[in-house]
Amino acid sequence: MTPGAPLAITGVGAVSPVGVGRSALEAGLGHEAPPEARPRPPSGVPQPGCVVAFVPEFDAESHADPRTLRKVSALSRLATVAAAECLAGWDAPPARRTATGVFLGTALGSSGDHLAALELLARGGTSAMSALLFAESVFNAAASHVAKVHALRGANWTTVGGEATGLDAVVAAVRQLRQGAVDAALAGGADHYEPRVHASLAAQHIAGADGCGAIGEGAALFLLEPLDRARREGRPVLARLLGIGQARRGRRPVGPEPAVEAMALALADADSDALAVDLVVTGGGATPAGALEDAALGQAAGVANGHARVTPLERWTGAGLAGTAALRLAVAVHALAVGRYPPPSPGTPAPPGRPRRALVLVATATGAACAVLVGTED
Amino acid sequence: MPPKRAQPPHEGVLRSPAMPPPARPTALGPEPFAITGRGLVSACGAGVRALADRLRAPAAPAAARLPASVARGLAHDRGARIPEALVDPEDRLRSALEAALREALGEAGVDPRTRTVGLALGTALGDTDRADRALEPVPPGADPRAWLALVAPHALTLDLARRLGLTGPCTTASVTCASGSYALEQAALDLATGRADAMLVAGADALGRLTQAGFSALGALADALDPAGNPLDGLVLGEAACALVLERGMPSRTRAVLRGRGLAADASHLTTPDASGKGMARAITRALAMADVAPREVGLVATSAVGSPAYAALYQGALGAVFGATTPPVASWESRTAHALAATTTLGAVYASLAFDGAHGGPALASPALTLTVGFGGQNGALVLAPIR
Repeated sequence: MTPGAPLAITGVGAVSPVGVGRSALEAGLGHEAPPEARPRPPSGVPQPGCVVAFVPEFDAESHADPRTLRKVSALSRLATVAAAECLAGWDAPPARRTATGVFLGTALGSSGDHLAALELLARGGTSAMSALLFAESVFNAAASHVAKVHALRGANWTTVGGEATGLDAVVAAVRQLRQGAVDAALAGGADHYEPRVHASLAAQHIAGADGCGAIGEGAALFLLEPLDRARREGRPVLARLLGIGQARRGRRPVGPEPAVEAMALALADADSDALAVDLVVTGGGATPAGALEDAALGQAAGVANGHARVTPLERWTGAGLAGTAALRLAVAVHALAVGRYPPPSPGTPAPPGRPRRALVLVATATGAACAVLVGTED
Repeated sequence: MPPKRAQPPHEGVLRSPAMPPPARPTALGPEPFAITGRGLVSACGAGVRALADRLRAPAAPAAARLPASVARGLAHDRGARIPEALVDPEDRLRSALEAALREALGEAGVDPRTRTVGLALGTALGDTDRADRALEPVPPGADPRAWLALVAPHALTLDLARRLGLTGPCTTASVTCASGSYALEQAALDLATGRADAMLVAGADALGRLTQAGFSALGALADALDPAGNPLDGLVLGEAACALVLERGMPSRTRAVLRGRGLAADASHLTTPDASGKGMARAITRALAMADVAPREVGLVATSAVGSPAYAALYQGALGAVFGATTPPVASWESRTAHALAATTTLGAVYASLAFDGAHGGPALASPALTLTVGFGGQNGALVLAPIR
């Protein structure tokens, strides 16, 4: 790939609390969630007011090759199903797959398997330790699975952190593509909720008592490749990836400055006028991070100042984990492609027509922020 | 010198005059980076000098019998843990990392109070020494974030950043024993894009019961050792925290130059590598190309995961593909530290820097060095480092 060439998103795969696949996103967003899909209190967690937006039970084998799902962790299952949808119809030759990287962001990894391995050791001693369980418990197991299924032999990068890592992985992929380190990239975020870490998540202000929002699980993966090549090969250009921005401030208390800076960087990277942004996808004001995003939009002149729709996703997908950040980008790409997206926040405009430039923004209560700007092909 | 910040066309986005306009990201190319600081806490002791002293001394087994809390009931009961006196027994990984990071900052002369310094941490499993505490409910009054750190290592990264007063980007990579390679790649990207003036890159893992039992269950640990204590048919695990300071340009305190980096995956199995070495060959080729170094110029190849027959075959295949019949001398530091999981990449860089000074037990190396890192799941990382000219 020519370093620095324009990039396109040519594949999207999503597993979310509103269902499996992009079609479920389209059907589920814009409506009130059905009772079984609404965020609900997790069982066994003693904190009142906490809810979790769970991915509904689904038959993974109807979405991906059953052989790729045997004995994998719940996180690997989410990532494998999302990857299967994302790469459906991607008829890349072996040489290109060899030069394709996998970039996955996750907040909790396979923490359920990690804790299960610890329990095995505690209860059954060392003879009970399972090699497979141990191998599945490492953070990069999901990325390794996806790479193995699709023979993707470029960099295989798992970044671990808070919600922003779902977009940080996309940023890492873009940077690797721009420097020619990989020829294409499968990038995004995935998380599977684990009730045993709920108290710790609450302490990080991701979830908490009344009004602090829903933790969301899920996965979204994107295929990124050079725009020119996609056009030449007749690949669907779902969106152009125009700009990326990341920022962090280590000072306390955390304010909206990192989010403002991340947006400005993404716009600068895209050489884009802020006024060209006509859709902003955020988490939602119910969480501390969502409040930071709202405050950042209030401070950033040009972006969302009476012009852009602002659509918060927390009501549908929850927030707080890497998968939910990646789902925001999936919603943005979908909005550009088909012109549908969740209802904008009250008081923000809802102009007719398809948005043409969407800014995805994630802020965290620990001072990090990430923004990705995508646009229509024309 | 870092490029001057250009005025962005979007300047009107920022209302607050107190906020500086963000710099447009610089082009990403094969830029060399200076390693200006190094820090290490390992089975050899505290400090890079402890490793250097051990390398120059006659070979002695790095591994010892592990404490019962780690190895009780395990067939494989040997490992190379950090001496207990050097760490906080309640917080081994964090305390070892903090010491290594402070040593690196000190050697580099970099002050986080006056410069934007970030941290890219690589860890395979985090703090498995304390991991069993993750099964316990958070005691009343205790900070639940400490429990989160046991299963989500980014909390450890943020804690270290707070302790050191870092204001730059903070990231955590977890890619088994190759975690440090990805942390280093992230640090290079953060420097190249102007997000930081200097980046700390660290790799670390604690050698706790889960780690030892897990690798034992995988069949990855050595059953046989030679008289010097080196593994013959598998790995001996170690424990270390190893840190570098990476900067742009060539400051006067530069210890070594990082000229090339390469990453590749085998994508063949969840744990065992592709013994053909094709993935590692790709990583090496990319690193050499980025460094603009021809294979014949490499003076030393430093490898990790010593003792594993699977990785020995991988290296043989990879080096044969890249170097043909004239492979440079191959060496490793692992006879002194054992296989220290995510600390491997940064340890390899430290080892190369010691080689450039002749502090590794051999004559000073005047040629570029190639350091290789592997991680289970088919991860391959290669670095090309060069002495300061």
